[in-house]
Amino acid sequence: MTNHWVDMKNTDVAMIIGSNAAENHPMSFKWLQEGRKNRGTKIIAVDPRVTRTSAVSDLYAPIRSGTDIAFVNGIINYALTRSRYNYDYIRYYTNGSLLINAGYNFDPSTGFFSGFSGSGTTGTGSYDKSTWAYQTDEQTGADGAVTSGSDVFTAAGATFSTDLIGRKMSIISGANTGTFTIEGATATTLTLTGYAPTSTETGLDWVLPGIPIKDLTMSDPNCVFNIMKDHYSRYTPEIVEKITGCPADKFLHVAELYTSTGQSDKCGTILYAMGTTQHTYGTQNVRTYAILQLLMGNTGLSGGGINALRGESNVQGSTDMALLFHILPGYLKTPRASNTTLGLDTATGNDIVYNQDQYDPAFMGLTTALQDEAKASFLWKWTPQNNDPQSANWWQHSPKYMISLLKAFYGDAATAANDFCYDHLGKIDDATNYSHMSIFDKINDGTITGLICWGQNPAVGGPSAGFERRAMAKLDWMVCVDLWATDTSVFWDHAKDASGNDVDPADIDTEVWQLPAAGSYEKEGSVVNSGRWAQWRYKAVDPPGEAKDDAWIVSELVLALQANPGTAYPAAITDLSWPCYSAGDDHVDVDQVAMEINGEYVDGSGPVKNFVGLAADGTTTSGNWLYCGQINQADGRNRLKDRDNTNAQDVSGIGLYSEWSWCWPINRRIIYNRASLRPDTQEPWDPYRAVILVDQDPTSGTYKKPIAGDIPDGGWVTDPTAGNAYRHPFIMKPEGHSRLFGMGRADGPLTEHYEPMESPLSSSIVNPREFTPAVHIYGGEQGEFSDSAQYPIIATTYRVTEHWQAGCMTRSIPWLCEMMPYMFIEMSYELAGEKGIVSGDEVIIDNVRGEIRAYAIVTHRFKPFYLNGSDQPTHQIGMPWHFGPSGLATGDSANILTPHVGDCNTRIPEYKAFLCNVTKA
Amino acid sequence: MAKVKVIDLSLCQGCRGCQVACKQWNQLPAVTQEEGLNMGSYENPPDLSAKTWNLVRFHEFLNSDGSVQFTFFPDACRHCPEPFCMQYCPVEGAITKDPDTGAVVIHSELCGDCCGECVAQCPYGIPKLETSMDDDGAVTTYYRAYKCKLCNDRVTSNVGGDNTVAAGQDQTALGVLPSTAIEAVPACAKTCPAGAIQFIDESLLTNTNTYPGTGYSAQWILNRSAEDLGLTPATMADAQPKKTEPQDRRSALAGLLKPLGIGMLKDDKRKG
Repeated sequence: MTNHWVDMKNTDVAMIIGSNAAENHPMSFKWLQEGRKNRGTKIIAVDPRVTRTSAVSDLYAPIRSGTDIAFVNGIINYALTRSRYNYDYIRYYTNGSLLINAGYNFDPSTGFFSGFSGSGTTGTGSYDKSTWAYQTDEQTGADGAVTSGSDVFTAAGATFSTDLIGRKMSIISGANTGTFTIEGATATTLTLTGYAPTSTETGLDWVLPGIPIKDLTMSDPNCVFNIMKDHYSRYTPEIVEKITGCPADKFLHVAELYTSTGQSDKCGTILYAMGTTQHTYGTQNVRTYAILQLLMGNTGLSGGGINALRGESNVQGSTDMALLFHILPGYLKTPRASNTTLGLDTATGNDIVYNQDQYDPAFMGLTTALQDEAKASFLWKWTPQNNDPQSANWWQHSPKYMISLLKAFYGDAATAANDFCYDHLGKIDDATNYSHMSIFDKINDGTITGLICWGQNPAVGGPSAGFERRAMAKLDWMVCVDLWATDTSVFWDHAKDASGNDVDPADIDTEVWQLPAAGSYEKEGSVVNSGRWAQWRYKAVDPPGEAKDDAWIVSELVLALQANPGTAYPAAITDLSWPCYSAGDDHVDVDQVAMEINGEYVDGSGPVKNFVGLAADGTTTSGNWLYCGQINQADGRNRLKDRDNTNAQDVSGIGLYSEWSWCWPINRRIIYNRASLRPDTQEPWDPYRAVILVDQDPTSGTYKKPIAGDIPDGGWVTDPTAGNAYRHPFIMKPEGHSRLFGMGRADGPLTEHYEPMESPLSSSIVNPREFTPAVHIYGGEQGEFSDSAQYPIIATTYRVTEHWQAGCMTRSIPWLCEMMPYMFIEMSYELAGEKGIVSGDEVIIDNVRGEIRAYAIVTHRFKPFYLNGSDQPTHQIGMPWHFGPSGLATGDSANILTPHVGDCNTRIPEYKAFLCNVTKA
Repeated sequence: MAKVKVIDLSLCQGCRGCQVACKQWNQLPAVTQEEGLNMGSYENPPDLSAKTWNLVRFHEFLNSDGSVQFTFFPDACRHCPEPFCMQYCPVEGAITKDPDTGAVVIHSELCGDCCGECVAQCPYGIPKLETSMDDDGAVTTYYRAYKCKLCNDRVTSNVGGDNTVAAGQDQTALGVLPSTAIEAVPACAKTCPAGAIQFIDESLLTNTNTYPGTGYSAQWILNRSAEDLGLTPATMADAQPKKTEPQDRRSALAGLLKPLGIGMLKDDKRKG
């Protein structure tokens, strides 16, 4: 979340889409109801069916599963055509006013953005993103001139201006090369700080590194705002109805209500969850919400933001700590195979010390081979460059975080001389995906022969669970770490072959080990909630029997590996610093772990205050730079244990509770909060919901800077006219502007509707594609999809309050099992009528991947959709995915039916939209 | 000051936290699949029983404009001001009302070989007699009645009292319930994430006469205007008393109620 749970009480309109918040995050409604009571908050629920959330919402809009983009693009079009947006916010804080390469385009007649490698309505491929780029004001020349002893540079024909003051300028030929800061400018001259050439020269090669060109009037046809007007114009209410099945009048109610938050003193929030992300275009679903929030000027404000309701109590924390393959702790990048070195000393060509300035004369003096190596080095490759002095470009500091992380990993073994043990890190192949489905693909083909399932139950929770269960039988060994025997750990006891026939467990050779783990209340440590609050949790009871907490198990594993590190690359294991646990200890010293995560000075002078104090020279450690600051430097206090609810820092009663636990980054409760200030007056957009307050900066005497409230996204002055004392509010982007146009994605810089892989429609209506072009399709049976002629019914999966994820915890608790005792599906009366089904009947649901049985709940809460102008109904069913063969409440797993295909960017599986058929058993 | 449990049904989101919290605090056993659970409904177990004292009832309603309402009702003892069950219970002290907490408590251990009068008198169908089921599915009913105790043991012992709020703080801003003389609240109120179930001073009631003429228990339901809540007719029916006068049935029941008598009703519900 950009915001946090309590802040939901401050919103004017909450749109809950891709989430059943009342069901799966009941606490959200504590705060939304508070908002209703105190400020008349309106709640919109967008969902394929009427849910427990819709039941307590003001406005419900039905959409077919997988059509969020069409729906929200329609709202964006509604806003753009009726000027229901925050104009100043867009032009100052977003890239709406920045110009895009004239070669960029989107072709509705093909469904491709510029640069696509494939063709046709079903071809797949990838994008060359070179046209998805800003136009910059870079200037180069070969006729520069300087006079000996002068700091003035001239270039005939060049057009300079005072806007360049503070920017960098490189002179790259002649006797007096270098990169210099511009301190004065006229149309033809630049005055360079600290420059005093020893000879008079002409004909110099020079470069003025560019920054994106900005058009604050947003009149240039290539500015993002105008590109968007064109792109989104196709998403009329009629098209929205054709694609989503949501009646146009209902859609318009939502569009009108939500875009009311485009008024500068109104604020809306979007709450989403897995209904958004678990699609082949899940990332783009989130993008379309983000774009809407930026147009409305809702991000960075109290009562606004993009708020992912996380599905587990600590899933935010586990992501921060790099549960995923593509990142290291704190969202640093996992090294790729091509990043052969950490960095390169541009002066010597030796390893370490990075320098990203490609116009630095020292760099330019290197051989081409060394230049190429430097550019491929980890720190160069993954540290974004920026030439705009008004942009903080916070990721420019990532080398400090990376080297401090390596020091935390490898301790004294990590030195400048050995690249801080950079080579010890595993490198992933540049173009290879290593996420869940890819792992099972590689288990299936025999590449991976052992598996540790730690708190995971893929036999129930994995997509195409039947395929994944069959793949498990090909493993040599599997270790399951969980509270109970899971459906996965006993997969051999309920195994079926591809035809659905039982397999004799004696025919499965996989050796399975079960390690009993401690539950949440049987261990001490921190839990990070969706709002990024890291809260300490104490141990309440001992775990039963031989059960151990996860940290103990992983520590024992590390010590065992260190004792027998093998021969392939033992140093990577033996050099690992593991100070918080010694053999024979009863438990890991979790307070010391918290200190290690925070980071310390290597010289023993205590904890680092916050990430600003981290260094790239090996003098600091930090296990996760985002959490640097969780230990209070002054008194060594673990701030995750803070429980002061006096709310003293809150300037307007928005419920910051800054002294209750601690949140990353540096206890900033609402991120991007510099955008909560109007660019003209720097007063809060809504004075009654001030996140930060500003006052006159005593240094500049003219401009304002943050003085109270939440921790600001940097203390720079807040007036965009303040020259280089100002910083744009979106400090994590190199250009400082949030991205309406997102050039980093694999599948398009703007959001476009494509159908799910399995769809009842033969095209995406707004374009001829059958599905999203940049999707990856695995081989073999994973690449087979259900045909709409044979399987005409749309299916989706979801959770219920009473069960938890793949169910191995809740399906063992009698009180929960009695409330949701059986696997069921929900269907409309219309479909039930066609099929002769009544509530309580057992039904069979099948598709190309298999069949399952469940009890039918026939309900008014599902209604058929009428798509693409047809008067024939398209039916949708829904089912919980919690059930499996183990536990007290048993039933077939919905994921037997879900496809093995995922998002173009993240490869999160498509759990939410696929096809099936339903018959009475 | 007597307390009352009020439920704002406009806030209830049907999460059933109250239902499971009730089982947990009172350590009531779960109903098993063998004992009979719904297969075509969210509503489980099918009814209140000696081991289910709080049950969220689910209803959906198709409006004439095609929109659908989905409403919830946490059904449990209303703890009437003048409870019929207590008036007509023949055993001295088997049913009591705590003047401080408002709790109407059946002391089941005193029921003995008794009558089930409380079951018959309750306008809401709340008390249930203990039953057991043998391996063949045959049900035996015992004359011990059970129902919600408003967690009187918890409340009077101040278990789970909310002590995190210091005196003088703005409790409303903190999102906690209004300050009460007894800080502990029943488990259902404690767990309710939406604040739909509250345990408040009787004096804070603003709507004490939702059903004119009954003179009891109506305030329990809403503490708000019923019309405001947009409830489905079925949920309104759940919330309302089924009768407004007690019946003196002792003589009629005397012949009916024998130790082999009443079997457990099994509703064949087909509700969303």
